[in-house]
Amino acid sequence: MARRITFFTTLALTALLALAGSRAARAQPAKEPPRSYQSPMRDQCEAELAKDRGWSAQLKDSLRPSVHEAEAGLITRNNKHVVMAYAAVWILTVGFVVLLWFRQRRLVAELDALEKKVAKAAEQ
Amino acid sequence: MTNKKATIAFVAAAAACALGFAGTLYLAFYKAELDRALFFNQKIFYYHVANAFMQFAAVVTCGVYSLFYLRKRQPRHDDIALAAGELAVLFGAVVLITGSIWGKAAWDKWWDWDARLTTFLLLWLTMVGYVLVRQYGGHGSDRMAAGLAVFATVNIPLVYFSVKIWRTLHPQTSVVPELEGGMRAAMWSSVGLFTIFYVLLLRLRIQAARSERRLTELRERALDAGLIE
Repeated sequence: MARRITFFTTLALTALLALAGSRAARAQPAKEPPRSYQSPMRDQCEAELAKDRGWSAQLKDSLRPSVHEAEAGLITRNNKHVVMAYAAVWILTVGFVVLLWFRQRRLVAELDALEKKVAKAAEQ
Repeated sequence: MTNKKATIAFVAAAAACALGFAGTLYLAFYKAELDRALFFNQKIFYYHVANAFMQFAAVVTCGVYSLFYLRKRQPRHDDIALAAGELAVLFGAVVLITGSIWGKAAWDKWWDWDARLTTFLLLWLTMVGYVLVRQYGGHGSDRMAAGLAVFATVNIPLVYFSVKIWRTLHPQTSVVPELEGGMRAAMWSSVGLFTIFYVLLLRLRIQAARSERRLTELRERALDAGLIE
């Protein structure tokens, strides 16, 4: 008797689980990947490209990797500002050192001239 | 230090500077990694920041020796202050010009009335004022200029902390300590190089200031003695 009860209970539970599972499966249908937008102008555009060979070549050229590499190079190796900055550093620094050197030369020359004047005046 | 030893030390430091300039350029352009945001333009940073540190050092030297001069009236203090004041103008000009070029590359504008830029410009103008007063102020201008140098020195913390006090375009002060690898090596070697260069220039300028003072004194004595007209 007890065995029969266990058998029917198991059967009933299995049936319930199967029912719940099928409902859940129906409630959540598998999602289809969204279709990408396709322009209605494609055919027309392709036809125009086939007619205009220059435009077609231009478009193909702009898609070459080397074009993108050159553009990336312009950004990553933009020398202009770096050259300007380092040139400014050197011009100002070297300019200051040269001015300092000229000032020192002038002072030495003035000291020499003064010494000569004093010596001459002392002789007289 | 004897005269010969001083000359040897000076020549050695000058040679170290020459080698240092080549070395820092090698580190900045070949060893430091390319920055992710500014790419190649970031290379300006290594000399820009080093010059800014030297400008601060020059202003502090000028301010401290001006304070000594105001208290003790020793001409040697005044000579050091004058030499450092001129160097503060030189390094400040380098910082402003390289910073402006950096601004064009990073923010697409040469100048912005940002707190760091404006406070730094004011500091530099104060030092330009110091040099102009010394040059054209006439008798007694040394003391007036010394007061100006002390005022400029007090302004330095405001310039340094301006990026923390106000919202600014300028990068934060934490950028330098956070550098790693090749960038860190390039940055600190540039700072070391410009420190030696600053000391060398300061020494040369002090010598010139002393020679000028000596010449003026000799001329006055010769005039007093009637030796020259």
